[in-house]
Amino acid sequence: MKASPRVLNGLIRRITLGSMGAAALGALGALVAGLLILKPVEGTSWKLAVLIAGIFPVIALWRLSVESQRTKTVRALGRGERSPDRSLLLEALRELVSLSDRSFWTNVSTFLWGGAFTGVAYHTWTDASWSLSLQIFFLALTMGLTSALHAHVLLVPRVREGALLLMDVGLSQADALPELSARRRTVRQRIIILTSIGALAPSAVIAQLYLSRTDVVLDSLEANVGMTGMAAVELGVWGAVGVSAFIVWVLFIAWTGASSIALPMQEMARQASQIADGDLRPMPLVLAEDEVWTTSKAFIQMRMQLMNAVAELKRAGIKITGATDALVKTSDEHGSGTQQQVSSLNETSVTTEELARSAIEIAHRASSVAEIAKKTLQVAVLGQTTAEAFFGSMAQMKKDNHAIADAVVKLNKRVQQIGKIVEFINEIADKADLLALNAELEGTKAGDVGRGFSLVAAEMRRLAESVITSTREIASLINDIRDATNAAVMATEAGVKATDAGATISLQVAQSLRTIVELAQQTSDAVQTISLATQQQQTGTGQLAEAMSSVLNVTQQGALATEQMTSANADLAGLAKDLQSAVGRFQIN
Amino acid sequence: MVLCRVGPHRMAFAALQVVSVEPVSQGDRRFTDSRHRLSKPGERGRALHGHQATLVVDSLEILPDAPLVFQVPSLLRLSVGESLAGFIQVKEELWPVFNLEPFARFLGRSAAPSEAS
Repeated sequence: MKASPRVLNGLIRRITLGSMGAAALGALGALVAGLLILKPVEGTSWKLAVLIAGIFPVIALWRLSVESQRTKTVRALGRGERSPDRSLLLEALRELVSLSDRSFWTNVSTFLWGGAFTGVAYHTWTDASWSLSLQIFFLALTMGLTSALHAHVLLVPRVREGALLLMDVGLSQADALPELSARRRTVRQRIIILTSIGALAPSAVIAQLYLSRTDVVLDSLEANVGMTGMAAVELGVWGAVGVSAFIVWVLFIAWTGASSIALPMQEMARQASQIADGDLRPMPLVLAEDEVWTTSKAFIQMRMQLMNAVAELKRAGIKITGATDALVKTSDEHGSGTQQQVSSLNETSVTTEELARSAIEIAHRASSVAEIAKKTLQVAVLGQTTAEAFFGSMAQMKKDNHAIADAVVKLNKRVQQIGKIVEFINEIADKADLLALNAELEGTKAGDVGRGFSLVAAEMRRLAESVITSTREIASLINDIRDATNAAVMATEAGVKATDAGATISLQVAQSLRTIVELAQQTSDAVQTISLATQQQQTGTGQLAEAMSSVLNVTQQGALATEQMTSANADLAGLAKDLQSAVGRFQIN
Repeated sequence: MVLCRVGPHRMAFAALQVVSVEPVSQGDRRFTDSRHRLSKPGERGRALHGHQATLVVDSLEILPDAPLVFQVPSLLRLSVGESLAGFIQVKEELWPVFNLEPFARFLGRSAAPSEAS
């Protein structure tokens, strides 16, 4: 969670407060040391004090005003005048990290300029020797180095805290690292500088103080011979004070200097312990200024890389778990689908085999149908020929019927003529019978004389009656013949009509049979085509059955492979869970 | 003896009383058709011509021999206009023998009222 930029308000003041205190203390120390060490011209000690107290603060304020211009970004952010974007935060970080070094050299330059001005001003004001002015300058330099070292040692932790505060406001560690990488100074250099300044400067000041107090004691001894014991005591006291001050001073510098080096190491050790415990959550930067910083930066990068790697591993584990779960599910579904596919392919294979058998049967039947169609065509051709012959026979029959009708008509006429003849005979016979009857009557009237005549007449009469009877029978027969001939005429006419109808029908039959022959020819051709097609279908169906069998085999192998893949996926899912469990021990958020 | 048949009836006449025989066709109106009195007229018939009368019968035949005529009482003879001469037996059948002309007149008298009516 980001902190408000308001936390930067007064940051420079808080950071530099200690260093300014050290500088002020150094200036005060310079004043005291100057009064104790230097031997100003008689009656000008106050002038020296006035110069030191007047010049040093002025120069210090001038240097502070110059330095404050170099931290205006941090101040503007603290006052809320500008929004804390990335570039401003980086600029503020640059101002902060350069603050400690600049503070060192500011202190040094302040004391140098102060010492120089004070020496020159004191020489001008009191006509003191230039060697005294040089001692003032040297003392200011010594105290300036010491004060700058103190201020630097006090400032470094504050600068680190300020940098962390900037990161709280929104500066990322990734952005801060390149800026911090430019700081190059080795531990050896730092220790040398620390040791040089921390040991030599106090030594020089203490030595000057001791030498100065020795001169004072020697001068007192020259003036007062009886004070030898007191002088020895005073020198002893000054010696003890100097040694004690030296020890305290050096210890203080050593402690602060060692702390500035050791604290980052301790922080790195603490963070390493957390990482060792699996805590990879973001940690504050361990800022330093030398190889410790290089180590810290490498440590940070390592932690970030490790965190990224673990995060990637976690994400990958989640993805792998999800993917493997999906893969297992998909494999199960695929296995189920493959089983269904195998089952369906089994059914399809059986169906295809049945289809192949049906195709064979169809081809066989198609061949039979083709043979039947061929026979049908032959029979139809024969029927057409027979129908045409029948049509010819019907035409001949029609012609014969007409001849029969004509003959029957002629016969009827002849019979009628015969009837007339018979009727004529009958009339003759009737007259003969009547004549015979009259003759017999006359014979009978004649008595015995006419008996013979009567017998002859009676015989003639019987003959006439026989003739009449015969003619009647003939007439009856003629009537029968007439009826028969009439019936024959009618039958013949009906036969002619039937023959005409039969001829028409036979013609239609012939035409129909011709059409049937054509259709049968087409049917035979079509059936031949169908037969060929069914044979091809039989071949294709057989190939299809073989292909389906191959597909079934492949699918069964696929089903086996799917089972193996499902098992492998289950193993993979277990491994993914193990990976998640292993990565889950690391805390990255 | 002339044996005649008219419908279901039979009658006989003496040959001497018959002068000639003539055929009669249907619709011939020249003679008194005794068949109108005796039965339904046939298609063809024979006209027996006497000396002064004619009688039409369906058929006739001549018996050459003269059979014995059985006499009948006078009263019976009078009942038929004195035309009945007796009976003869031919072929185990009894035939009445009439005199042609009286019998024809008798049938004519009997037929006149009916024809007039």
